[in-house]
Amino acid sequence: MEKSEANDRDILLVAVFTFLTVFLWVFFELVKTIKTTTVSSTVRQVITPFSPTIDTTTLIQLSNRKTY
Amino acid sequence: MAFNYKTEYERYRRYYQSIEPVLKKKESHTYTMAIFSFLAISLFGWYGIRPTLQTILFLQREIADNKDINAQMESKITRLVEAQAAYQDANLQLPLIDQAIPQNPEVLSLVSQLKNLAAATGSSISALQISTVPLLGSEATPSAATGGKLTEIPLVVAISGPYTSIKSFIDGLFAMGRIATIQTLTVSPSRDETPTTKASPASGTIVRLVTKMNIYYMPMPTAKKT
Repeated sequence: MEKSEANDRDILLVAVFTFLTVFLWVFFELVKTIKTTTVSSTVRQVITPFSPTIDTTTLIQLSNRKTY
Repeated sequence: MAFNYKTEYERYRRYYQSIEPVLKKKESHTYTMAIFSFLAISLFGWYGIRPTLQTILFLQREIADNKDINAQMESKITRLVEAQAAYQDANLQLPLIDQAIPQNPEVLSLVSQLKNLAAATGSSISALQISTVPLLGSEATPSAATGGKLTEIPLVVAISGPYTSIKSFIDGLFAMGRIATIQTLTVSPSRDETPTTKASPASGTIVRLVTKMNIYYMPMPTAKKT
């Protein structure tokens, strides 16, 4: 009887650890899914912001230069 | 030998019967329930709950990303319109950039400008040394192609003349449309200074200037062959 109870406890431990492993595995897979972006590198390149202003100061400085 | 169930039953009966008291025991019943519950939750969690939650979270993330992309695209469109307006405003001045840093080396034009500058300032070019550069067109070998990258051309100019002319020449270099950066500048008394070439005290003695400088050009980036 004692042996049978010990066996039951071992199997329960295996089941609990299996459950914990699966739970953690699922949890981290879901975290990875949340964190991973769905934007492709091409789209990311397209939406990269840029400054629309032109450096007119430099253009004015250039216009003051001479051609010989 | 034929299978005789009676003898076989008698043989294994004690095993069948030994399970019964175990199953009737309350502790065993509880353990079995708990074990199968954990295993069932693990199994359904892996094959049922995980893919469902993953799909839900992926779609939520995709929606959030698409909203973000949409906002950034709107912002970029606005900026493009602003950039187009700024480009139109500065359109007349844009050739100055090409003049300052051309797409081709345009060394001949530079030499001509240096010659005119020397003539205008009253000095004379005694030597001019330029490293090997393509005079026209693109680079000869694909490995040497530097499309879209600022390329520098080293240049050594030796001029001689009165000090004031040399100074004017240097000022002219700084004010020249073509951008040139001076690396080194050496001023020394001219060796071939003779009484006839000696300038008046007002204009100063004849000096020789050797300047090492860099000029730049930026080839247009070539489209990659697919």
